[in-house]
Amino acid sequence: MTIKNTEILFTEAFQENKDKIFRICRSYCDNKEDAEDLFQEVLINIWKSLPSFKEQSSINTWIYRITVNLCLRTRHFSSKKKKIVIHVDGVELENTEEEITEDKNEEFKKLEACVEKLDGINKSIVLLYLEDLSYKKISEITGLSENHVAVKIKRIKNKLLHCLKNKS
Amino acid sequence: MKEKLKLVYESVTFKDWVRFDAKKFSGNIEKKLADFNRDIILRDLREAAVAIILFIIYCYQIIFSDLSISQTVSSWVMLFACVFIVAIMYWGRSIGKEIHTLPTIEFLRMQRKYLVRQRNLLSNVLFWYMGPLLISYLIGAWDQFSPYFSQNESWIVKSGGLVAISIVLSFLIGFSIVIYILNKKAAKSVQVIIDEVDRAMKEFEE
Repeated sequence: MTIKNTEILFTEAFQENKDKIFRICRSYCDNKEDAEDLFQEVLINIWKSLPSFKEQSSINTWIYRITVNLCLRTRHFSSKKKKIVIHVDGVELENTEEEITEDKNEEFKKLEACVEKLDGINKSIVLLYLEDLSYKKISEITGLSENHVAVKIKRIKNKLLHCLKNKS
Repeated sequence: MKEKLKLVYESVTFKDWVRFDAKKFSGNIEKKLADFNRDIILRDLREAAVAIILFIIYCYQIIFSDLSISQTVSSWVMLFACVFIVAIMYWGRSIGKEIHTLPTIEFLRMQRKYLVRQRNLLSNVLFWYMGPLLISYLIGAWDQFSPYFSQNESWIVKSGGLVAISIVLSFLIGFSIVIYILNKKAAKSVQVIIDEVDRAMKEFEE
């Protein structure tokens, strides 16, 4: 893949998914700064790995795979060793914290609190589901079968609904 | 019809959080990556600095100094140890390129493999790190102290040699014990992460 092709592929895919990627990153972080670092890490890794993208799955699925894997690793499976973080130009984040606190409705806050209670894996699956990805895509991202994904989502949804009911 | 959970999730207006300027990004990213790669190389070099310095010193010694047989053996063992230690350190880190692009379950397996390797290296630090260095040092020390024990020397000189050897050995043993304890502690903290990955994999497959 030439650099030009990489650029085109990246720009299109990133424009389409940037907000979803950030929302997933944000869900795995306690504060905006960490979310920004994680988002940049995801971005860099997508760019670096693009030349090896094989088109066996769709580019969007592939991007979510990288996002979920890096979120899991950063938040749950990495040591406390200080990482080298780079911030690239051309990517700016709006003042999300203000928007979160001002715009959030009550129900969303409850849902967020319930999602927060889930473990890392279930959280990633339900976030993909809430981002409106099909079971097939979630199965391609996670490596689980479609049926397995369906069963897991049903279980997680029940947990979330139960949690929401308790909070009401 | 969309489900309740999705409707709640989408109800909050958090679209267009991220502003992306493709031109600015592509004009800058390669330079940033080059800088990043340079930082990584520098970090790796810093970690291997002791081995590199020792390698240069012992190479110099072998080429330019008039060494006895045991000193030559000691120097060659040290050269081997430097290369071996750096190689093991790099092997410990390499678990295949771009594992983050794999499906999550595969990614977790690879992540576990990497962590287990790291834990084992920390637990066995006496063998792959301290061992070769100690062997080289002991051969060199033997060369230094053996004249004290020749038949012509008085018992005072011999006892002095014995005391010197005891001090050196005590220092080496003490140093090894400290390194071993510190690494065992680090291995335990890696084990905590391995347990977390195991839990995640179990939950994933349930």
